[in-house]
Amino acid sequence: MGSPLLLSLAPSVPWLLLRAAARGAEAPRQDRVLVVLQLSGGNDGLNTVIPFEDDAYARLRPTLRLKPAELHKLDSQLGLHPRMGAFGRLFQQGQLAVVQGVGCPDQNRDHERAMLAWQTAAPQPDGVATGWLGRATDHLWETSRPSAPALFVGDIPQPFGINAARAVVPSLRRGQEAVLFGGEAGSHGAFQDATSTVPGAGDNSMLRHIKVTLGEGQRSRARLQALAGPGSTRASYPAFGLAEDLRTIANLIRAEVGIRIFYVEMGGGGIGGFDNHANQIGNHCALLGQLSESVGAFAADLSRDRLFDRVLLMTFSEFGRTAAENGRRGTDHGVAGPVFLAGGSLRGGIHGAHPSLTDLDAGALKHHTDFRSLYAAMLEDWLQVPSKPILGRQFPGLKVV
Amino acid sequence: MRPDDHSAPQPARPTPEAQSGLSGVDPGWAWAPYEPSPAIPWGVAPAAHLLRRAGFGATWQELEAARTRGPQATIDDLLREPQSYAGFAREFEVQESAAARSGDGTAFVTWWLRRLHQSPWPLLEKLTLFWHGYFAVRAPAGELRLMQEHVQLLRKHAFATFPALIGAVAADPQMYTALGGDQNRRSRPNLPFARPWLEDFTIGAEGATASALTNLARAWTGWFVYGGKLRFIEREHDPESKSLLGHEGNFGRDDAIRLLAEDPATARNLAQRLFRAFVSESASAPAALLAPIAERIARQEPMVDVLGTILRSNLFFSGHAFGQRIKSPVELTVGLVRSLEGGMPTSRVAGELANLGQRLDAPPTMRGWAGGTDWLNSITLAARLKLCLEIVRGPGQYSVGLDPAKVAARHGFNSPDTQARFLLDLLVAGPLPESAIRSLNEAGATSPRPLRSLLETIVARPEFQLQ
Repeated sequence: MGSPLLLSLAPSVPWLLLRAAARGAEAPRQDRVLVVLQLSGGNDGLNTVIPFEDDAYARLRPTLRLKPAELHKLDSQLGLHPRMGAFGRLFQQGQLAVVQGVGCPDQNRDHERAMLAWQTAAPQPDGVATGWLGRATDHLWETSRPSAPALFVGDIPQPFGINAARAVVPSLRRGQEAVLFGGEAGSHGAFQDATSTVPGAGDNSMLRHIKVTLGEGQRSRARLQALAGPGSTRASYPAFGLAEDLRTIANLIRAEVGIRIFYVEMGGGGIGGFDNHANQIGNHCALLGQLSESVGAFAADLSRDRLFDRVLLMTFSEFGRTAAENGRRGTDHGVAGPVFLAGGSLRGGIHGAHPSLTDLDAGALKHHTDFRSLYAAMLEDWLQVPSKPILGRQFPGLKVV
Repeated sequence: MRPDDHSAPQPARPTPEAQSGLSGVDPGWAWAPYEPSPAIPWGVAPAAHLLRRAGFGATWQELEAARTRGPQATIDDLLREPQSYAGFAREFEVQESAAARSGDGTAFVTWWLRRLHQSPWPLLEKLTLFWHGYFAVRAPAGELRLMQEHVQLLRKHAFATFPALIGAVAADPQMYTALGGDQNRRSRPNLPFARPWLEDFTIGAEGATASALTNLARAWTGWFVYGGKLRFIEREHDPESKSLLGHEGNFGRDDAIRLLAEDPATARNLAQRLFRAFVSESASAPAALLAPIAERIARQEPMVDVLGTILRSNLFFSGHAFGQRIKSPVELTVGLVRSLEGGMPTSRVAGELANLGQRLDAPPTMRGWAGGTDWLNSITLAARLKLCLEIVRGPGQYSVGLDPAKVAARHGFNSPDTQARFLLDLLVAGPLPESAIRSLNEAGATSPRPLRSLLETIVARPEFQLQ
């Protein structure tokens, strides 16, 4: 690694210089990063991306309908929820893509099974032992060793989507960024002694791996600490849990610790906060506001360091909701929903038509885009790993990257 | 078609030099009982190696006993049920059932850790964990009771013959449900249900042809879970003749499983897994080297004898085995606390295990934990060091009353030099390099609490991750 002296000056030097210093003569890594954001509970897509010109919308949503004037217009037909101003701005900058009508054949309307289907990339998830991102992680692990290839950040048990067969995917509790790579214990003399040991000729292959891994962890820790040091420019994030998690992820991306896949969650896991069967409007407003502002801050933070073009964030929820509201100012479990992609180098805009509001599947919007086509694009076009072994067969990738 | 989950994980690719290291080894020498020799004398180091592999580390008293009794008598003891075990097991089963019924995964793992820490028969627990990784089912959410019964079943048959063990597992409703047995119908045999029985548990992926899968699923028809028990309903069973591994007949579940269990390919696969779990993760053993072990399994020797052969062997007490495994998170933490005669910070460790990649209540896939170098990445290794430092640091959040000075004095080590030697013998597999010894001495010399500093430096050493 580069000189520790330079690292300690980090707060006062621009990030790009710091990165060059930390990496020494090595070429800067240009690895792309995928951030997957799970919205637990089944987000009401129809009140997220709104076809405000469609007469059916007003009929289906007598109390929940949103006023066209308050929407953030995407085009002459579609608008984003009033609280999603930051998403609207990203859209205008070409840094947001809206993929409409995403789901899978025979989508289940049970929270757990639908979530498992999305997480495993299998419409019938019985017996599937790993998540699609877990399988991608196993693939990346072959070349990322000894860096951890993936990380879950959040306060719920690790979601199944990132369950890998081989690689160990660590979890980081909210706000605990400082304990990564040993944290404070890293300055303990014993830890320093251990991590300064150099692989030797007499070492067995296990011991060599341990020593190399220790060194990599220590370098990551130093980079992360240098960036968090006093005087470093702290980007401004709103005071939401999700924003805190995304701030952590942005720091880890900046520190170039080798993590290619981040998994983050909003809604609290289980039957999550997006499950609004009654009096939906207030809660849904709050959640979409948090989502939009948190991702907006994340985008601004990374853009400032010219890192957003290496990042792609994808949201998903286990299902959409019924087109018609249910008489209790809420909506019930549905099928298709929109997926948002945010990043500095994607094909922004609207992908696919808004699902019909009159041709429904037992009251819910039908899907026209298989989530596996979306996953195929994330894997092949973004992470540049083969999608077939991960998804079970070749799906035509959406042209979003 | 669904994503192919059954191919991974495979054992880590061995480095070329490690492979060549084993390819020249004579199988006859390898599995002959080890006799202490000038090249590899019996003493504290090989005894500690044995007790780490056949258990979860040893106290000084246990090491001394092993040193005095010699290798073969010590191994006899390890393989035999101790007198105090029955009482211990009765008490723990009550607590474990209660924890499982509560549905709280952390409570369940906490009791398991307590068992590993306190069991008077550590080798049984070691082998049960091996089988838990071999038949690695995940409990459905909130169904820990089934998981606990499954583990109890593995424990009960751990030392039996492999056909007896897998026969019991095949009759386990937890396995049946977890693998999708309830969708296996006479009119529509469920091939994904049959797949792990062939690929993961017996003959391996090469033998798992479409025909073998179909015939096994057909043999299994007629079984249903009622009230938590598996029951056979004759009219739902496919009565036509089946063909499996070249045998023809109207096989039922037990016939088919027996055919698979007794196949030589099954014995070869199991020998490979045992080698990795008990001898070395740094190299995969050539088939010729493992042939004697595979033959014993194929002859249906009980596992107590198969494992006995492995533990007693020249190969086990050689450089091919010493320090050639990476401790699992459970071995790392339980071993540390056990050796130093401390209390176990079970709920703290239970929480940390998930992060380190070894949630005992949820193996990653049906093939269990990949282990070896797959345990370690830049985050998990640092977390392991941090946890070990916290455990030995003394007063603090996770203090468990570990006092190295007191333990050393209890065993008659009172001078700084002998105390240092004592800790190294107790905790580290194999010799440390000169530079390490120097820095250990410095840590001791400059600290107001020399022995505690020394202990911290030892558990942070890269060598401490090995066993």
